[in-house]
Amino acid sequence: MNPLHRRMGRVGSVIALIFGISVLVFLVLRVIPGNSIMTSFGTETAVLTPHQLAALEKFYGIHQSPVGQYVSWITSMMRGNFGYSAISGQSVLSLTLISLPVTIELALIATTVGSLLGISLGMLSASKPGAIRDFFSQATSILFLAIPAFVTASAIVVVMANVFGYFPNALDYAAPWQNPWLNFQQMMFPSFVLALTVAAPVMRTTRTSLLDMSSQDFIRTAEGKGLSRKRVLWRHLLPNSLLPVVTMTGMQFGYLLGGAIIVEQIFALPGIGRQVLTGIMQRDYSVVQSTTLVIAVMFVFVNLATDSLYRRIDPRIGKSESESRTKA
Amino acid sequence: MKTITRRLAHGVNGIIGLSLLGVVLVLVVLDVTGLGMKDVLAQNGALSFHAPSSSHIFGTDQFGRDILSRSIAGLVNSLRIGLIAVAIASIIGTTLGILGGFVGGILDDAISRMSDLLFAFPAVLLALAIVSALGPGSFNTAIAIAIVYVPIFVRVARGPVLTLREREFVKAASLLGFSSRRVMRHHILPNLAAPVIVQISLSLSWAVLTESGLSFLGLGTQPPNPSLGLMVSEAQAFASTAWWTLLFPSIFIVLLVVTFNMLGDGLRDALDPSWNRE
Repeated sequence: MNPLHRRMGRVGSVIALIFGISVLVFLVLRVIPGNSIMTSFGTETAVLTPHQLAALEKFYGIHQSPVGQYVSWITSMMRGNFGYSAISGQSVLSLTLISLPVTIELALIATTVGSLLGISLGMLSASKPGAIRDFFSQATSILFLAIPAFVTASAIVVVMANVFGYFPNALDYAAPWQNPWLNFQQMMFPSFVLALTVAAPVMRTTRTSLLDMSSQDFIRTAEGKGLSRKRVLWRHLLPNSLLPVVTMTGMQFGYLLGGAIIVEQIFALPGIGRQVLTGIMQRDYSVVQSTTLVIAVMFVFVNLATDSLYRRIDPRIGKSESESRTKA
Repeated sequence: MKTITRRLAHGVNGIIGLSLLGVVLVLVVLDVTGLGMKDVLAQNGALSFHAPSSSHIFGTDQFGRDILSRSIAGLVNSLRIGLIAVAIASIIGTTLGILGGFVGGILDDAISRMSDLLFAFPAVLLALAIVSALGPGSFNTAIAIAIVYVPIFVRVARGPVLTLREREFVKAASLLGFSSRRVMRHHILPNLAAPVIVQISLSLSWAVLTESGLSFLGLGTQPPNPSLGLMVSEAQAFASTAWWTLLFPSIFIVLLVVTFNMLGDGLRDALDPSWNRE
């Protein structure tokens, strides 16, 4: 198959996937009882005249058939109109533009700290399999994996308030360029909590990969050449062992974009996960629907980017592809 | 079954997993028989926020309810939801995986595309969206977790089927004129047992985490029923003065999750065909 076709095929399957995601999101949310009119008017919906109801149905676009609703939703999404919150009347696009950077910042810090922590623990563990440090690192990763983020987060909130009389997020969120110090204070704990959940799988992957690699021929060759242990570790062993860790880290970053919901909620960080959760609690259809789609599409693209990054840095796979890329 | 247990007992993970499972089973028995359990719903204002003592080993909560009894009941509740969810997911997922892998063609394409679609959501978000659509509650939580986990079992089953399909004994069975159904059930399924069992154990630990997370958010088990996630959520408000309200339910969640994680790892070591002791 020629490379151009292969790339077009990949683009095609991504488009098909995103189409599928949008249909699924649309269908899942259609199962929820009640509609936008009931969300806005509550029990007063019952006293609306048929005429008023019809006008409102037209206003919310729910007079159309489900297919019509889907088509009008998706075409306006593509035009940048993500719909409006039935509660606050704000556009979902403007809400998302405010909440998304918060989550991206959180996910970036958590992934960076978590993967550094995980890689260090993995190196410590693999440096002497079976030793106490190996046992210690493995036990740590098992605990990180098992303690739910909401438990760590609740414990931190309680301890900080009780011991230091400090409430992490008593103030409104401050962007790093507005007030770096306040931003650091607000991000410190939530990103720490999430970093622990990132560290556990990264640690495991690093350990396994290091142990696999250290028995390979090229490492024996490097050692046989008389290179120092340090050089073998940093120049030969580590760069090759970290390839699978890259995939793992990328996946974790993707998860955090939509999976930091509970931590955002506990620390009152106005991120995109909290936007979905608030939407769900308030039965705010359009917010949940459009925001979920945004998160899922981002998730797909992060995974795609991780994949192509891996292809780029691993010399063994996708050689023909990198050639075609230089030609193009 | 006996050999699996014996093999499990050879590895560190297996030993820890089995011992913790023993603890969990003791707690389940206590809950079922009601032995030493106090009423988990009856409120008694006079007893509220009693620190751990000989009569209430884990102390009492804001309504004077015994935290030990509530934690045990909550653990059993989480376990029940996890088991229902993973049972549904493994049965549907494995069946679809075998069908897709064995039959191939359009059916396989359709099943694989559906799995890809479910994989395209962060798991927590998908579970949350499904629960919000179905409405909060224990059973709906189980359904949501099951849906999220179906594609994982599809993947776990489908991969080995593709290689099994080409093996002599499967081809021979087909040539003997056995129906596809019989070949899938008697020749393919038994060979998938190992990866599926490992996945069941690991999925249980994740299911428990998700269940407690959804309950924490108020979307899972509804009060006043005992639920570990809900207990942690309520404890946030009181834990500065009554630390036991937060600590003990948290420990029980971790106990369940670690149990199935270790058991899963132990099973993987024990069921690995390259395992060559004895």
